[in-house]
Amino acid sequence: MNKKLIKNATVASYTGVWLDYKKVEKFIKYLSRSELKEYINALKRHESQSTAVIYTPKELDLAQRDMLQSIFQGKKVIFLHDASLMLGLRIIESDNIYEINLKSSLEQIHDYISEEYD
Amino acid sequence: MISSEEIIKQLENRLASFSPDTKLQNVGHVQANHDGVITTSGLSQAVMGELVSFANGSYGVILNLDEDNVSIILLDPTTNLKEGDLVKRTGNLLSIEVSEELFSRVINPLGIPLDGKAKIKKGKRMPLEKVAPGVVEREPVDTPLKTGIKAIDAMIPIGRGQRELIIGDRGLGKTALVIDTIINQQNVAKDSGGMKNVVICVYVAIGQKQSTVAQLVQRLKDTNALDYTIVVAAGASDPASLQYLAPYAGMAIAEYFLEKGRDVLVIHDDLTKHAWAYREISLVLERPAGREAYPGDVFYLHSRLLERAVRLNKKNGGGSITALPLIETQADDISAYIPTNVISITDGQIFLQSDLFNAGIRPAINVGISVSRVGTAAQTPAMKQAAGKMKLELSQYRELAAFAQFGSELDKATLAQLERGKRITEILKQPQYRPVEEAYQIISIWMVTNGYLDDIPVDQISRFESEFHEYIKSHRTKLISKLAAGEKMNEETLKEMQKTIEEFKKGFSV
Repeated sequence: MNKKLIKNATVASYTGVWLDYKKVEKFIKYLSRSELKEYINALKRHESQSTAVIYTPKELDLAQRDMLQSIFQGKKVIFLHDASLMLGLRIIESDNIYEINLKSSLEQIHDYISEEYD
Repeated sequence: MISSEEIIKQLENRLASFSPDTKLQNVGHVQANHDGVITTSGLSQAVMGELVSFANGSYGVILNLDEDNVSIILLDPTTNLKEGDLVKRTGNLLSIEVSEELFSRVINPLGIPLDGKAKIKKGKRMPLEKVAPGVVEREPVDTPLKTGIKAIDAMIPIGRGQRELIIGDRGLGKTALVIDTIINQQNVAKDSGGMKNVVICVYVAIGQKQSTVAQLVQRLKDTNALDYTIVVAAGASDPASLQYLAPYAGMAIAEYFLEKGRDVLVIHDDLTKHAWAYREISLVLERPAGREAYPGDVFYLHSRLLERAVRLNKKNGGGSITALPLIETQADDISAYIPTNVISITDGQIFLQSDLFNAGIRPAINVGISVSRVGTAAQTPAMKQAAGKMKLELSQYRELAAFAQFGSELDKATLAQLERGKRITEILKQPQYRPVEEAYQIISIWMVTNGYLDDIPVDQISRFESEFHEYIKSHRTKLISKLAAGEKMNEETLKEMQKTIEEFKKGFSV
């Protein structure tokens, strides 16, 4: 099984945005050890690309969650808690991290001053 | 004592121009670590050659962009990277901080000091990789770079802005030649306006023993040459990634001074080890191996480096970078892969041969097959006049040398040719760390090619020359100044030289 087929198998392993374990069990029967390794890596990449993780300093209400969910249509959205952000959000989407929080602003100020005073 | 209000006021002033943006970072995660090559997922927006930082504070450079992952070479040996560790883009290509503070310093290719002294304060960041200046910005090479080595300055002259390869087996004196060249730059500067115009020297040590680099630095210090020299070292124990970057770091430093209109000499010692380091990196990156297991772009590795040696026209500052790359051969084989590659890139080559070295001819330069494609354009008129027929006489001598064993059966002319050739060979010998100023070179070469040494025994030539130099230093300072100016020698100068030689000969005891 070549890389392209494994990629197609990865996409086919999902029902909507969720990994379908029954489909996965069907596929892995036909894979050799190295192909299985490639399949697992492909699943990890696909999972990372189809998931958005949102960190917030406090629990969000339903309306806020729905609003954020609507931004990432077609993706699985996971909400996590991180009090160190103080205010704002951190969004991890695929391999991009969006820092829209007070902690990041303070770190930027610190880096800016350090460079200016070097 | 500063009050808290003052501190706040200062911070407010500093932050007046600051605007916090939504920080977007493109990141990856470590998947595997094989032999200093880190495979990561993510980093979808990374560019080739970009510097990345790891969670443990170490840095790497991206050398492969594959479909689903990115391969990164570590720049410092680190063993505590694990699967899943975060990797961040820095958004910067590899660069090195350069300023005048680098003189007399020994640094690694990332600009980190290796001499135990203070870190270099902020300078200008110069990119390690840069496109070479185009044709329009360049000017023909016409100013000599005087090495102080008689054989080179007379017959294989190097010009400022030229690339001249020095090639030979191990232990034949390649490094000795370049060290003498560095030392000689202060002599050249003193003759022409002072040390403010000295040719800045950048010595790049690639894959060498630390003890060798230490000895070299000490030698430069003892001869006061370190004052205008910068040493970039990536030793044998450094990762292959640093050895791969070292020549580019040296060139980046040279370009800083080039931009200021200065003349710079860059020595890469040696590019064979540089090619080995690149081969090692490429094999670990699983790039297809070609001839001698080198990757397919090993020519480009050196061509893009050496093309940055340039003589700029006045409009672009008028500075120059002269490159002296060194290549180590095995058993005098100059037809191997890397030597032939670099020969075809450079503007000439100086061959050092082991049989000449073993016969006591040092520097062991084979003048017959050494060449400088810039040629006499990089010689002063005085040197051109003195050394004009030397190469021909030496080549005639080599042709006849096989007959030397039949000494008693040869005609007078052949014998005379042989004797002349022996004397020329002898005068071209030179001790290490004793570069000769051009005025003295001109005198030595002129007197041997015009037969003034034909009556001196071959084994006394060296003593004659050194005593004669001392004599004219104290008795003929005006003559020395005239010759140092480099102008063509007129009748009066030639007569004075002749008279001086005859005067000295009267007092010289064989």
